[in-house]
Amino acid sequence: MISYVLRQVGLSVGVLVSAIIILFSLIYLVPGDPATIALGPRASEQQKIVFRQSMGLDQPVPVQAFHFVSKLATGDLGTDLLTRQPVLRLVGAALPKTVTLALTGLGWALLLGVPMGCISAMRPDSMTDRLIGLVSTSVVALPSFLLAIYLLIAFAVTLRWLPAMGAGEPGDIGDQIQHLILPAFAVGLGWVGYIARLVRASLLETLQENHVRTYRAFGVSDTRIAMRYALPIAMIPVVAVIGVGLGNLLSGAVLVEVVFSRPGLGSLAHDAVTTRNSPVLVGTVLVTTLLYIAANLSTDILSALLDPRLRKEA
Amino acid sequence: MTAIIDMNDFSITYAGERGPVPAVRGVNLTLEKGRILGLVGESGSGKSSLVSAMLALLPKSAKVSGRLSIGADDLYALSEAQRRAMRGQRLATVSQDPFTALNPVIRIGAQLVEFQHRLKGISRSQKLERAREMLARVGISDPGTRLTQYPHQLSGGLRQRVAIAAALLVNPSILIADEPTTALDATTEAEVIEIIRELRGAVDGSIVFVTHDMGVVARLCDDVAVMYAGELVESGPVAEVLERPQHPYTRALLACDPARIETPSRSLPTIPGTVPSPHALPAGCIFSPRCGAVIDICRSVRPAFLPSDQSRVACHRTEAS
Repeated sequence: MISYVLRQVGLSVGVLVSAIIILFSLIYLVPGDPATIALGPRASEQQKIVFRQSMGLDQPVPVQAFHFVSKLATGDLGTDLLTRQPVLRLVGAALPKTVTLALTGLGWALLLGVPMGCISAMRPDSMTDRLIGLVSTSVVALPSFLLAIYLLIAFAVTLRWLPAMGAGEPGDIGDQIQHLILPAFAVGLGWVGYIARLVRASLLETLQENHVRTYRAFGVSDTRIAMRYALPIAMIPVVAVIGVGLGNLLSGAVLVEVVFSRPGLGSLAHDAVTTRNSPVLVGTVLVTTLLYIAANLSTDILSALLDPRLRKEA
Repeated sequence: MTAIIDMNDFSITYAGERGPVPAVRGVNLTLEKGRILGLVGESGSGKSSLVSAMLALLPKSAKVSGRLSIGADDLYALSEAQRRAMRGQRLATVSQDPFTALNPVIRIGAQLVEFQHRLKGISRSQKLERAREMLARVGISDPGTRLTQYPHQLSGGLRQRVAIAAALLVNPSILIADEPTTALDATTEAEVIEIIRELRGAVDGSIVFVTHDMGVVARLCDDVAVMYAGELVESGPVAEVLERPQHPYTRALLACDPARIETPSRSLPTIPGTVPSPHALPAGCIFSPRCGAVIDICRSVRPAFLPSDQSRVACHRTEAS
């Protein structure tokens, strides 16, 4: 198990290094002069030269690459062009909010989706199964940002049950939770249906396997077989699919943040794009990449915990 | 003599998309306590359906008629809950494929404890100890370590021994071994058969051993029942049926057993034709389209399953003689 984890961590580091290289290349492959883009078309040539020097853009590309990587290694992501604050601090403040939103969304989707899938698989083609199937496929098709807008209109603007904007007062947990309910609902709803369908299909397949017949032949009850012996196997592919889909979940969270004006990576990236604030944009993209890699790493480790056969290869 | 399994005109019909499928028809079979029955037949002969019926594991689409008694109980007159209560207590099974019969993500020990769930009043550690002793009895070395391992860490032969140990742990009155050696190589097969021979005394009841290998029947079983296309064509003591087969299908089956062929030839003997589909069964005797000794009556009247010497046979030719 330890060697498996170490190998997966090693692979993740490799992916991270490749991501940094691609990110750096992208910045310099994009056509156009960064100084003109940053300062606007009316900037004087003198201003542009000063800008290039301050950003180190007058250096040869390999030197720039070296600076980029060595600054990354010390945790320096550059400074915000507008506020002159370190990007690391901005990203560091935004990251927990986005992670909280994404995990809350996924968490409640799992809490609802897994039992729904189990009920469906235990009674396939029953009325309950059909109803769950109908609800699932309906919500899967709903984009989270669209849902966010409707939730905002219905519950925050018209009914005034829940707050519309922001993430709540710092330090006030109750207020923060109130601010989390609607965005988390928007982020997770599509996943409820998705997870319910995945669990249903996977559990139905597992229940066909020969070992399930063995347990039935020993008189173990169908519910116990499904929950104790089939569900852990059925969850293996579900966990893998969720891991791959976490990127999707993050981008959903990012859009929902923009709709709810919630501080987070989404708002940060959105503002950075609209104000052409490239160090902040690079910082958010890098951290999002890191988040994605961390999510995949935890998926791999969780899969190995569920499936002893994965741990075998050292 | 007490009959432990008694089937009387027992039939199984599946609800299929193209209408009902009569998979097993009119089986009359008795197995006495302490004996090993070899249930022989080709793929599609209905032996797997019959095994599922004996284990009360038929799918919902199956309808049964006639009687199948386990001891004094008419199995299909009982409620579903009563039938389930027999599984894992009076009925136990060793399945065909040792590679898929155990849960891949649970340790062997935990699985063997679960299989003893009917045993009340003994602790988990006592069940684990029973499991360890049983693994030692089926010839598994270092049983303590095996209990902490996962199925994929064991070879096929070891896994089948674990499955046999699992079945013996519940002290069944009927142990049904559904082709337990088909997936194993010849050496391992011989070992597994040897274990069942040695442990037959540990089963306080009878063993049904499903196979398509007449050689295994000869080595292991006391009685043999031959199935063809969903019907029982011949049954009786092994010595009798193997030495003096009366049904043409039994004779053909024995003639195809490579171990019994005395003069080497370029090709193995086969039975001409194919097993009829349950959707298009021939009138009269089920074997008549492929039978070399067919007479007129075979094509119109279904032969009764009648005693003949020490066996019972469904054939017009033996009836006539």
